[in-house]
Amino acid sequence: MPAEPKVTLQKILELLGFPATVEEHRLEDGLLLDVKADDSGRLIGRQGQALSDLQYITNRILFQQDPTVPKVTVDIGGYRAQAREALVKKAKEAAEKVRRWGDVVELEPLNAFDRRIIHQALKDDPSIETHSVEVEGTEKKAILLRPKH
Amino acid sequence: MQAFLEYVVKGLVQNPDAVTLTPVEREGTTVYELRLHPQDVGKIIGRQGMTINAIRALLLAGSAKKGLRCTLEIVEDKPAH
Repeated sequence: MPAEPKVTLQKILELLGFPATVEEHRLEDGLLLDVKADDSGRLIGRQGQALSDLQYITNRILFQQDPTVPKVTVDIGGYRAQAREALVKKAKEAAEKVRRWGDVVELEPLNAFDRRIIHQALKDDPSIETHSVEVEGTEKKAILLRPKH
Repeated sequence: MQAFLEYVVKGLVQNPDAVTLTPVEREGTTVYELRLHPQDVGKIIGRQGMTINAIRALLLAGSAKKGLRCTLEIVEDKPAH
């Protein structure tokens, strides 16, 4: 059975009680499904948690339909783009602090997806190094920013 | 909410015909008892409970919108002997 990402996500949302339109966009590394729904706040959840859960379940179901299907990214009303911008801003501010005071700055624990955005945002900064460190009690890791010598 | 759970659970398992969902009312909350083929239990729970917790979180979002309280429990029936 060929996987049908858009139809599958639309069906999940409809059954959950969130009638939505889903737009499909092709990306270099997979597919972006952008959801337009009323009451999208509930679907995004605190810090985007419900959105992550929705994306995870959608991918698991699609994998079951067809193990070769490319991974889908689910977004709701541009939330991910906004969240990404906020993370980049946070990274730049922390880097500025490190430059100004020469101290190590630690960011709050983030999941791998969000950490990647921070590392990417600072990878071309000649004065800053970034490392992820384990944090007890969570699977998330914290990023340390330190001056590069 | 039952239709949502059935669609998602059946979409995740190897043996969709063995899936049964029984709604049980308990103190104003609907508890959906989920029975699965033994091979599929691990699949629905997922690594460190990731899959079942994601299903529960979506169930919570959907039922809150409708003003309902629902939970999902996996029931493993012990063989009778």
